[in-house]
Amino acid sequence: MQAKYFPDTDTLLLIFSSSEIVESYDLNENTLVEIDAVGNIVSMTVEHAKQQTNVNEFSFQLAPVH
Amino acid sequence: MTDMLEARFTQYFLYTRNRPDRCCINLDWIFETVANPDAEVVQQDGRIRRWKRIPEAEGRFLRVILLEDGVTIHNAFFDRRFQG
Repeated sequence: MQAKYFPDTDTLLLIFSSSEIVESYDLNENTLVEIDAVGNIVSMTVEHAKQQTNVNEFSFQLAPVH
Repeated sequence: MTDMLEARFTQYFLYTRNRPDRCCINLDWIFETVANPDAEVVQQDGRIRRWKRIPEAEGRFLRVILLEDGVTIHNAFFDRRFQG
């Protein structure tokens, strides 16, 4: 998984896999979701990301396995 | 009509352009959609969506997103849900 931020347009691109994208659709006007042939999410684009997300405090945590 | 020499692109566009689903989109189709769209919607943020049916791409509709300046190309993809 990758997160890429484009400061020129305040756009956040989350890439979940490298599967081939077959369809793009709007979750809302600022969020574009792209899926593969079996409906799995491949990427998500969030526009005006600073208004909608805490993009400056991105972190990743792997939950412990019990 | 816009051509490569005078076109402006966002960094997001240039990055996603390399993806397999985007690299097959001919730049001329994008410029034609900008210049002669079949439909246009201005978003709440001022960005502009334009669609055009592309006969060379099995008649699919290409959606191009322009920034508020009406010139800079930010996104372009085939929009299967657009009905025309």
